[in-house]
Amino acid sequence: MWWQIVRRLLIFLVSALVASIVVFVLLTVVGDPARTALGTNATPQALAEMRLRMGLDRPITTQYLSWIGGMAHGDFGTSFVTQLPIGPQIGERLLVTLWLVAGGMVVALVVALPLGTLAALWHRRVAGWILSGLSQLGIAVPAFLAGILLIAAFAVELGWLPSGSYVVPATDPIGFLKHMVLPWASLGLVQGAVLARYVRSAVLDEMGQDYLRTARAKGMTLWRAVIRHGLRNASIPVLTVLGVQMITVLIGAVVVERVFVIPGIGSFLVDSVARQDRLAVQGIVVTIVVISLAVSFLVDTAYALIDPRLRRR
Amino acid sequence: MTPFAAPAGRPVPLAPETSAPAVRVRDLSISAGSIPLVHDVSFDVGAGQRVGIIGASGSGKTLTCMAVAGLLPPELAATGSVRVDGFGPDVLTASERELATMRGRLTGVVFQEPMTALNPTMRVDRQIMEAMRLHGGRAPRALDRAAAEAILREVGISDPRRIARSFPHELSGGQRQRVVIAIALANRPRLLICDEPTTALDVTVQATVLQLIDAQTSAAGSALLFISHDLAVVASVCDELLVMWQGTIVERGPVTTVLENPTHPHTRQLLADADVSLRTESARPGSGVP
Repeated sequence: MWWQIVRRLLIFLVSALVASIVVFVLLTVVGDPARTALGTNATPQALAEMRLRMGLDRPITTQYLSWIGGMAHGDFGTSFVTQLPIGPQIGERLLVTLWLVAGGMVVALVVALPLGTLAALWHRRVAGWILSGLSQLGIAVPAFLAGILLIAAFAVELGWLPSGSYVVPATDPIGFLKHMVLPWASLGLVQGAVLARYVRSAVLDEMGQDYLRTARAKGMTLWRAVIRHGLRNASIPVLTVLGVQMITVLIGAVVVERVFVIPGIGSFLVDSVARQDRLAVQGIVVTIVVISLAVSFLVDTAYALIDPRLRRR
Repeated sequence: MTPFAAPAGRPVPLAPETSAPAVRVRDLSISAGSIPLVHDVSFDVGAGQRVGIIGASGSGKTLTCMAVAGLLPPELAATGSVRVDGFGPDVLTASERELATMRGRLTGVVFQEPMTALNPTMRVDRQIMEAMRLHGGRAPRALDRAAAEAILREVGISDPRRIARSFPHELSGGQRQRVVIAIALANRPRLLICDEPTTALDVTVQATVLQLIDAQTSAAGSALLFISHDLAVVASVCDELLVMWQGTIVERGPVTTVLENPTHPHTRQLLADADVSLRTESARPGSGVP
């Protein structure tokens, strides 16, 4: 068990390192960052000065090492475009996105677990088909459309909730929740609809397993057997999908951030790209990759917690 | 009938002596849509009696037993009646909630495949304790655990403490089947249903598991409904024999009578097959087959 965790941790570190090299090569080595920053009309003199400032005159390995070494200490460098340190901005924006993603995934789970389980238990009944149809509908609706519809209904028409912007939870917890309800719902309902289908098929699979029949033969009703015995086993395939969804949502959050005017990391990335802010883009992309890898690591570790058969080896 | 689990030993007293048969099956027919699978099957298993059902695969013997156990898949339609002693409603028409009060308490089932019959993510002792708690009410955990270990010892597990804390994948096939038997007999049911309990086991383990079923059913005072396609196995455990073929009972009677004077061609075929596998004699082509 411990050896497995250490092994996965090593895989995590190596993957993160490889990803950082790829990002660095693509954004710093390929092309000319100085020209990108200054534009095509820059004089050779200005270009040379800029290269010196950016440290592009140094050997590539030195450039890479000083960049990655700085990030290891939380120093992502200072933007040559905005003149602001990048690290604190990433931290601030990331926190916002993590709130958004975490809340969205909680909503998704709250929607998907009962919906999927009921759809499986009722798979021979009309009620089960209706639940399946509902989740199908949810899959067909993209998150940004769900967001716009929710704004139209709850912010514009009913005026119950704000239509956008972000409030820091530490300063105004109630305001934070009010502002997050609609973004969470638009992310969570759509992801929940997708997840519900996986929950349904996972629970259906477990319902066909012999051990569930044993549980019923002991004197459990089908429902009780599914809840006590089936769900834990069904959670293994569901967890895989959940991990993938979290990463997808993290990257795709930019759309919802745009709709609800939330200053998350996705918006920061899009803005930085528009500003040709190479150092910021590099830092953001590496951050997102590292978080995605961390999610995979956690999911892999959770498998072993759920299924004892995966603990040895 | 469902007292608390005792700290050690059998948690429930012997099944009460009654004159009523443990199970009474009348005109049982099972079909999948328009396809008939079991047709007009009637039989009794008297209290403490041992009835074997033999037949080739697809003869309907497993479905018949699942109908008795209240475990028929919902997509199958069953008509007729199945009465289990001590259970009010007809098993075929009872609700899942009603059936749950019967299963595990009045009937216990040992399945064919021990490798998949246990929950892979739950420790063995919890799976046994669950069977006791479902019908015996809540007892302190430590007492339940002691009872679970006692039951494991009774089914011939030499190291019950370690096995109790194990997960199913850490056990051998024979050990798992012993655990399944322990679960099935945890509440001393009126009727134990065994569906080819030794087929999936190593030949070396088959005999000991068979002896265990034999001894434990006697100790629990349970009746036995024992399915097999293997005549020798059924003959060693049962008193009465039903021969099923294409969804119907084609022959019945005391084991010795059926084995010595088979009347139906299918029974003779089964006997011939058993002869071949048991005595490794050369097959006698055509014997008993019309």
